[in-house]
Amino acid sequence: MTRYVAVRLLQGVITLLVASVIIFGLTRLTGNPLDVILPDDASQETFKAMAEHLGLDRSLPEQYMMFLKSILAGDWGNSISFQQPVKDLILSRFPATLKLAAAAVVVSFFIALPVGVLAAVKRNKWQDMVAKGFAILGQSIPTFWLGIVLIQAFAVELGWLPAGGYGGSKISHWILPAVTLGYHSTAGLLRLTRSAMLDTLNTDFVRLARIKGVSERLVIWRHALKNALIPVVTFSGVLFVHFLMGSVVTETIFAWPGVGRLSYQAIRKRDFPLIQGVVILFVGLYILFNLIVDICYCYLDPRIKYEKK
Amino acid sequence: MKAQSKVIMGLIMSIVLLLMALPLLGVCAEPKPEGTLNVAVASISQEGFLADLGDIDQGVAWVLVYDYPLYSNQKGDILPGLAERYEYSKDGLTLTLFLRKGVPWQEGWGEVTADDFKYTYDRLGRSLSSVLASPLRASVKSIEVVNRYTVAFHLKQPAPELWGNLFGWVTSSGPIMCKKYIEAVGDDKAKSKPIGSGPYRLVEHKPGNYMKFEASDKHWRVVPEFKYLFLRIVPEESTRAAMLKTGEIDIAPISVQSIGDLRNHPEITVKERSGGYMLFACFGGMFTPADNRFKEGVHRKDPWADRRVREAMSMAIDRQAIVKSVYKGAAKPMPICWTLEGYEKLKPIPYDPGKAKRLLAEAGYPKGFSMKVAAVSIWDAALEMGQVMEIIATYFQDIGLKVQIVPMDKLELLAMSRSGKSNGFVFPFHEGYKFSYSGYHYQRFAPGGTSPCFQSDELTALINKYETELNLQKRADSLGKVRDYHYNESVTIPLVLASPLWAWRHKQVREWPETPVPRNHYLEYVRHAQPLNTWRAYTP
Repeated sequence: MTRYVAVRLLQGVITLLVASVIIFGLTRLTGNPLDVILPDDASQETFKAMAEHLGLDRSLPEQYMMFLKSILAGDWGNSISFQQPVKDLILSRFPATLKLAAAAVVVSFFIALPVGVLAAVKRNKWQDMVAKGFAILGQSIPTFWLGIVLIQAFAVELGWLPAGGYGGSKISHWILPAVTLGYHSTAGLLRLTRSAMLDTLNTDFVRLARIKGVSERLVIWRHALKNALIPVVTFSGVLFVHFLMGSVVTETIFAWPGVGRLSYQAIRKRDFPLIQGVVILFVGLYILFNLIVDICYCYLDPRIKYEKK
Repeated sequence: MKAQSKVIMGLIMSIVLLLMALPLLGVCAEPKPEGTLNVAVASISQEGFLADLGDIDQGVAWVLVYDYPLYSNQKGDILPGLAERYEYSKDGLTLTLFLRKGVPWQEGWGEVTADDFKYTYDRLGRSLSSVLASPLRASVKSIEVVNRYTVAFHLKQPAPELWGNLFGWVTSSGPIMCKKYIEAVGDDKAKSKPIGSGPYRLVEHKPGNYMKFEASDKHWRVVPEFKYLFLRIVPEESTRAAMLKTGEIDIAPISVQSIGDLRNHPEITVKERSGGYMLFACFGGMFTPADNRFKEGVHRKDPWADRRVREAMSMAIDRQAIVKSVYKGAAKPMPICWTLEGYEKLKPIPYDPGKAKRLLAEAGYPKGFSMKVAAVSIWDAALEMGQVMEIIATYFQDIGLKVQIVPMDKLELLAMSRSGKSNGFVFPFHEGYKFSYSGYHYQRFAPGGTSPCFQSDELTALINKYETELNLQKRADSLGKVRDYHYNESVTIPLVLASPLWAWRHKQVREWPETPVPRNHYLEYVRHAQPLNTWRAYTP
């Protein structure tokens, strides 16, 4: 296992390096940040001075090495538009995104698990049809549209919840953003739970439990669900990172001051260091969570072994 | 009778004494700020408070914390600020500001003096991002502290419009900063924890979320009615509109998208206010050899190098229809840019596709020609610009032009026009309110301009004459000639002047003074629906 983890970590570092080159190259194709940050009447001299100040006058390989050095040094460079260290900016916004992603995972689980189990147990009955419809809807509705509709319904018309803003610890502020962010993946999780439950319900040990006279409730919730949860739990790890990365639209709609909105601002301002910092962070998190999920998988399902035979 | 008089006299004296004692008892004390005002804006850029390290988008927060040399009212008239007045020397080489005495910095950092003015403008002159840097570097040789309350700008050459560029249209970019404080705590701290002389002070800042300001009980200009003011950052327009409806916010700038929705709400007032932006379309590739981007055989080769073609294209557009359909009436058609004084007196450009076709035929294009229209919004707060460009493309098609609509990004457009590769394109530009013509000209119409739009030797000669003229009447005449040139030569395709739209909950707040100066929203003047009538030296 140790050897497996070490190999995966090494692969992760290589992936990060490759990703850094791609991110670096792609950001430079999107335009010149000086066109955004300098005033309209800035002279050519000002353009030159600013380019020099930001290191944009250097060759691309030099700029890439500067970027790598800043990542290794741990400060991640300075944001062009905010004029602050990228690391500080991301760290100041990360808690909000983390909370939102965690809330979205909770929403997904609370809806997907019971509904997925119900759909499997009531296969091809109306409950199953409704659950499948709910799942298809969730995967079809664009997040921005859902957010706006939820605001209109629950904030404006019913007045139950706030329309926007980050209320810190006020749960009422979390509900609409978490549902908006979580609904799309809830649908996926629901389908996964349903199919995993269907597979498990058809296994021999479940039949044996029924023959032995174990109550249906116990068969479903203790025996079948426990085994069906293995792919669901592992999927949730990836889902969490997916929520972290996919929060751009939700955070913008709900005026949520997280990393998603920060990255949106960075892209609009062509803030190269900030874009690079945010994307590298997400790539790193994705690699890390995948590794954690794989390790967890091994513990959850003893049949899986990563050691070389 | 005598006794009766004594009683009456006694009564009168008692009343007088009582009236004199009332202030001591607090009965007639000045009303103090109360309550909380919630304002939502789309963004505050980097959310810092040092003017030379930030950009103009932060002005919306700076105007609360800092004071400015001069202010203006709705009509654009100048009002005194930290400077009571300004004066040019007879030779036009010195611009002197006479400062108000006794204005304190917040939290006991002393008094605003000429040293602070010099410190502020020296910093702004060195800035790479401030819009004030260019005029300061171009025109100011040195800044002198004449005495504690007088500061003189010594100029490289006469610059009669400099006061407008420094203290006028961009006032929100040039707040006066506290030298003593910044030198004591350093830039990093001063940037996030500002000390100003304004009516509000920053008490809490949650980056990306909100800024909380607390009103001062005493201020030389205005004591705000609201004790606390939250500037909330809500980037999405529909969310701002929803928050207004739910009462989570009291005031918000909105765009034409939300007019219909909010106008019908019983608790919300929507109004067009002063300022806004002028939208016009530029003809690409109109460089002269005086510009180092000029390429022989490439530039001035488009059909619109002929004035008749430019006039025809301008005449092909139904501006009223655009005002009605896109701006829902919150705009007006324009004959030239509003920076050019006297535009109101010019005849509107007629919508006459028949005449446009005849002009094209006269110019040698009876069957039209091929061209491209850049469909892009060049200002994030006015996404409707891209839509307007698509509409004018259809008007061009109506007079026989073969138009390709090219959707592009704002930065693509800037890169294209700045590198001199705009030939073949008609593209949008916008212009905010300015007190002076020069800035507008040098960006768009002078060789070497950073946002090139049109150049001609005649226009350059006219502006040179205007710039060097010190006699006010002759200057006005020169500017008139520049204006007429713009109009008669169809230098650009002027489209509309779009008003900024604001919505507020009228059960919470009253309408407040306005100014055309961008980002100076005078939120410190907002009153409660039932006003407290706090102190104000003047109402803009």
